Amino acid sequence: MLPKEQFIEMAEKYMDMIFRIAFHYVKNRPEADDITQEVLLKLYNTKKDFENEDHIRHWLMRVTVNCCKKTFLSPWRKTEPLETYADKLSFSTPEHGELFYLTMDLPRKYRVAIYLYYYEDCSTEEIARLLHIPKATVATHLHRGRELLRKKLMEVK
Amino acid sequence: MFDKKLYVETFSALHASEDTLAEIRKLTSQTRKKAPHGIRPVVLLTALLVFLLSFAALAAGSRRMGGWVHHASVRSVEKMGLSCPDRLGEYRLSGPSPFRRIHVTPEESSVLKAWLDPDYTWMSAEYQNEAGQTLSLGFGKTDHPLWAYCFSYDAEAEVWLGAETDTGQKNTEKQDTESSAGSSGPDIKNVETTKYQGCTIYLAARNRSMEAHWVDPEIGLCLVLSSGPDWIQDETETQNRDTACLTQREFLNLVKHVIDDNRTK
Repeated sequence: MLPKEQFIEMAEKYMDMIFRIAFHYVKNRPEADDITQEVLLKLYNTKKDFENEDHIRHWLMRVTVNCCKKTFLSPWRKTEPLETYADKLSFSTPEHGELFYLTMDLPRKYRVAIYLYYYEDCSTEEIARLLHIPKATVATHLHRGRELLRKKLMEVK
Repeated sequence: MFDKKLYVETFSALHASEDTLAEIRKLTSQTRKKAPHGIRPVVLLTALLVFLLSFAALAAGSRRMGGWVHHASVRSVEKMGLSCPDRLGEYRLSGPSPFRRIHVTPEESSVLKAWLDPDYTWMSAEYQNEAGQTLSLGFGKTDHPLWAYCFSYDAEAEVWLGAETDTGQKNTEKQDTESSAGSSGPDIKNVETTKYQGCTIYLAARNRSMEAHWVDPEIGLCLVLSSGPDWIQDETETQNRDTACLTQREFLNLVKHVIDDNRTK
């Protein structure tokens, strides 16, 4: 069990990561915030003995993925149009904003894999373990996701 | 090429709400959750009480559709003060009935295709239970990543429809679509496409009415057991329907089996 001070430190450090993974799943800020809170509370209450910080990070990613999946169990979900959130984000160039929308338009399985691979620097093997899917499937999702993004970007240009 | 730098910069703009940490601090200022010491008598007593109350509620005529019972998720929504339209919600199946599979036939529904994404496909499968009753299971599959989580009954079209849309556009010209589908196929140009948030499954007895829906978190699937609007009026009919229902486990296995079939094609 983490001491409170260490927990707060970890929460500050990883809350954005949790939020971003959740957002890639649910495309919805209120839900992603709820998931972030839920995951952090799980971290606070867990009796697990973490070996190191990398262990905590991996555990958080895994729990976040599971919480995201659980969200879809209920037919009742909070909603917020993507635009409402995007309007509040400060993208440095229009290209960034464009990429945001195009990524969010990808099928969920592709955008989550892409996020974990490119943003969190997870290997395909790690992603496979996190998402409970075969490694080859992760590679396919990454490939197809990139292809789709490339096509969409070409269309926009 | 995938521009990793641009991607990382883009998603660096996403941050958890500032309230999250404040909320977490507040919650953690309370005592930590106590570790459970096995099953306590009070837990057993509570479980027994909940069971008895649930049984009493069912006996008193809580919402049932055939052998399907309203799931608690709907009640929790009601407790939140949100409106829950009659007959809308998540249902869980109760009551056994063996069945056997007859066949699976891929087919297209032009009307549904017009309403949904272009990648939408419609499948159907027929099953027969021991009583010889034929059940028809149909499901739509779309690669669109979003989900259906809310349904409403469209009396005019006699179908359950996803009540939430991704694009915010409702199909306002459904009647036109139906008429054109009946003649020379759907006139997609005249239709405001409604992107349903996921897949919908319909299971309807040929001669009887049953309805329910269920969401699968793993495979992104939502299902509706569908039928006409008069499903609840005849109590005798409802009793008969109970005997025709599949167990939940059987039904979920069946659904997954059909989906796996579709996946491999």
